[in-house]
Amino acid sequence: MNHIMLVRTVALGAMASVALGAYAIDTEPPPLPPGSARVQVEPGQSKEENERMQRAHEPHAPSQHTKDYTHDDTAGTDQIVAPPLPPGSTRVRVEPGQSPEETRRILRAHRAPKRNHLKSKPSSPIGSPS
Amino acid sequence: LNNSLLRLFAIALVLSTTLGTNRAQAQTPPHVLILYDAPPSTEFEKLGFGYAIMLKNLIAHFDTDAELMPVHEYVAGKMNDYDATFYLGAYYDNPIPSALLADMAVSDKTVVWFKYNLWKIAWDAQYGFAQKFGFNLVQLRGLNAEPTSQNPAPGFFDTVSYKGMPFVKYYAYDAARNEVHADPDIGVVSIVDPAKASALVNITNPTTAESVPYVLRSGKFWYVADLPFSYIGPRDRYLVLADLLHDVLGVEHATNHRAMVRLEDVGAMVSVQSMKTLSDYLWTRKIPYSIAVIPKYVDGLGVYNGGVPETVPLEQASNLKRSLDYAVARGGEIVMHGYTHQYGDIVNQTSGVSGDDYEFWNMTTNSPVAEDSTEWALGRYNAGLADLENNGYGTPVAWETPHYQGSALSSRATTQVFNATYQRVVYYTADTPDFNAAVSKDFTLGQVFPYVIKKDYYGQRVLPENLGNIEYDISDIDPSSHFTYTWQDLQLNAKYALTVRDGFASFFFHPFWLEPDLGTPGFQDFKSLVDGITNLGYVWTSPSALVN
Repeated sequence: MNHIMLVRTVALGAMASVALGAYAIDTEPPPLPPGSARVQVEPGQSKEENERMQRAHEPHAPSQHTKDYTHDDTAGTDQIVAPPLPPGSTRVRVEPGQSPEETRRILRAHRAPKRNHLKSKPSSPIGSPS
Repeated sequence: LNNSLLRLFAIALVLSTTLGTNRAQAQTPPHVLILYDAPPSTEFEKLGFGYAIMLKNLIAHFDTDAELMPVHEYVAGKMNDYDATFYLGAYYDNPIPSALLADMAVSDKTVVWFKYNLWKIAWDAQYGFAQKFGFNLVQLRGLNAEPTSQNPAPGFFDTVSYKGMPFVKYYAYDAARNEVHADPDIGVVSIVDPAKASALVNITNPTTAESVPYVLRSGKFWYVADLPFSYIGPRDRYLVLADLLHDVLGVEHATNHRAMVRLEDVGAMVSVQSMKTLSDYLWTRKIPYSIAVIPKYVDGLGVYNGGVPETVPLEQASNLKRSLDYAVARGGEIVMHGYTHQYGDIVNQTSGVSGDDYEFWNMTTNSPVAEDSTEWALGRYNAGLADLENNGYGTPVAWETPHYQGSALSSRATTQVFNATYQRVVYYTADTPDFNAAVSKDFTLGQVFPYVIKKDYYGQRVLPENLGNIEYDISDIDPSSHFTYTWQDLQLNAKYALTVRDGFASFFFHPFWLEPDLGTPGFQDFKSLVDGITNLGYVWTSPSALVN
């Protein structure tokens, strides 16, 4: 054994004894539970959470990449958002033109009274009753 | 009279000094030391270090930059320099310096001991542990029996009850390999003096109907029976620790539940109609929101362009600009989500196309990309920032790493150009990790945060995303899209997050779910989720409100 090796051995021995003294006296540990040898511990997120995280950031359909990026799919549909319809709107039936009353009124107005019709009726070939 | 005046003056002086000291203490973040097992020349030398990184990140919520140290480097008296010392017992029967045990036995500082090796102090008579702290370690418990193909799930203490919610620990059994993917071991303690020790949280073994302390406190000494940094998720017992850290560190944050929503992966191919619909809805509901923007579209291999590589810079991405103009005018805040959200002209996981692939991590080799460096990452960040600036969108409020995974260097580089990141984060136990080393292998640490982290392990301010996102099974259109994650799942996650006193409900949503060809009830479910989170009592906020 040369001098350098001797010094190194002594130094290592001294370090080892210091190190041993620095640690707690070996208390008998409790036994590990059954199945411990088969347990694989992974720090961080669970496998499912990692997969979900990865999946969340992937594409979901080829169409996501095959669009015309210049064609606005809202073109021609831009509108100011309309105010909501009032209550009962769904039951409303709209008819163009005059109200039914007015129509009836006009019809009525232009309809000759039955009496007039009678008056205008051609005379009986046998002549006026009067 | 003179004596009385002097006495009054002295009392006033003492009072003002005391009050001043208390105020100063309230404003001074606690000094924290995290000690971890690092058994040399073993496969799991760095496991404890990984846990220490994750704990350091959580503690950064309290404005504290905790110091990490392998437990074998501890020297006598070191813990006196800190307000709180955490020991992470990650390695069964790892040697612990007697100086640490002696200091812990007499310290008047906060000590938190996790999981293994408590017997080294509790069962060594010289420390008088049970007499001093009023509890003792009884045994270790894990699986109730060896798992087999006939009995793949023999059960264990897996349900932590906290604030009325059951936090169930992860478990999966790989019958082919006869491997258990779980972290079932706990230290079982018993209270011998209820005047000194009390169980704050219990954990239950549903198979045997046993219940034992999960978190126990004796004065300033805390024992956590588990190491809650493995297999974590939005409903995991990890949240229990995230909340209890307020009590451990004595930093009381007021109950404050905030919510955030981010429209995700918004790039050149976005549907203007979908973005307008979502923007209108959120704007009308007065809900702040953000948009994760990919500034530059690249199809490096021409996968969707007849084999011809295609690039769409922001100035030509007219639909993207229409969408952003519309959203920004309605309160949307821009988050930069990568520069191209893909890497070069290779398939880096899926296709080489923007939105599909990793940008700052080589997923094919599970390592940093060849060019990985601070300068390379900064070059991409600055290119994206310039694109946004030159097109009139100013400076984004935050950064979000594509697929939430970048290299250590690229994560650190974000701090040079962004005020915050808005994401979950993947950490590593080395900047250039070796995950397959037989000795001292490295670990990937995916971490989700329930609250704002002021300065994480890489120096980033992290705004939380902790609920996930709505997913549908559209495997008839895209065979790989078979995940289902409903709005009810996310709402349940939000319910768990309420157990953290200042926990967030933060989620993201892909606008493409509104597109008719997918045939999903995306918009209706989005609205249901917004209502569901609101009904839980969360108040909606924006990333910009959390940056400063």
